[in-house]
Amino acid sequence: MPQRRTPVRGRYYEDFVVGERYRHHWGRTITEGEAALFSTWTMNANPLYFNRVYARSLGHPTAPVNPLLAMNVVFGLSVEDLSEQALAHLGYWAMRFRAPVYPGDTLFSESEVLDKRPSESKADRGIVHVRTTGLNQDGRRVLDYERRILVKKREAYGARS
Amino acid sequence: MIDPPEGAPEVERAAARIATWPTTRRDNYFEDFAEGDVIVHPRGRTIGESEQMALTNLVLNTAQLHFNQALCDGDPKTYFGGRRVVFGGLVLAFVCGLASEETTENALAELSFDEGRHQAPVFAGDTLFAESTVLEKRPADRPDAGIVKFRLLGKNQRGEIVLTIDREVLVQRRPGAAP
Repeated sequence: MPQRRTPVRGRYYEDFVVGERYRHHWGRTITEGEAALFSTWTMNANPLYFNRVYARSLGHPTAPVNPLLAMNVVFGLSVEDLSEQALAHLGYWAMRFRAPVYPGDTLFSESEVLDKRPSESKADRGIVHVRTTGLNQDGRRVLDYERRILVKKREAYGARS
Repeated sequence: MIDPPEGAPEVERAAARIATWPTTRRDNYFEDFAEGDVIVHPRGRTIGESEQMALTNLVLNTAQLHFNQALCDGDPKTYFGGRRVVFGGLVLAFVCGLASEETTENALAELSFDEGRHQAPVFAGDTLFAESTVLEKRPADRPDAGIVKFRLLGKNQRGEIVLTIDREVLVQRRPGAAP
């Protein structure tokens, strides 16, 4: 029998298990045009990210991807697993850029749940602490960071979605 | 006009002009920062409605509170009074952009961010400003650059701090300067 389905995306607080790792789906190839566009769109003045002549003078084969775009993509890829049911993204810790990203590279994202605890002030939510790692097509780590996310509890919000 | 032939003196002069082009400013090298300096970055940037949604989707962020107004209207208590909040990763990128001409234009690499907190939400229509404090300077493992640690603040049009984050940047030393 055909069924009408309404899938819910994103994990609630109860769904996170400390120690679990998620390999986030999709992956995303960064093209040269969008790399330069993101950098100039956000008014980043470092020509390293949008001037190939200058980037080559500094020893790069071509203009590298602005690390803030790489980080945003790695973060974006993690959202469906980590924070699609979040109430807020609280902050970042220990973010390190470990290898340059070049146009044509494909970024993959994975995360590990480091810790979770209920909110002290509000019973309907909890704080999830994760480490997210961005990898390129060779499996090489290009960046990683920790973040803390304020996530809905299923018991409080599950019926609303 | 016919271009001069390959190897002609004017061709070499033209190429030499590009090779020595002043691509970056000369007042934001490693030597130009002192610990304790506070730099109030001169430009503000208003975040537009359509661009914040476009950039959120460009980076594949699927959290609906950034781009589904009906969701926010349906539960304003949960979603910032019924307003779509701007994705924090973009707030960070814009604040770094605002700070870049004075801090990272001559950077060789972003090394790290730490202690980053989104202290207040940003909405479309808000205007972002940036301020940097030089926390620390130290040599790098290469002679032509040094590491500068900044505390970067993002503020809105009311002067409220929306983002605070510490960052380490590998900044070029002034060309020809003794390390």
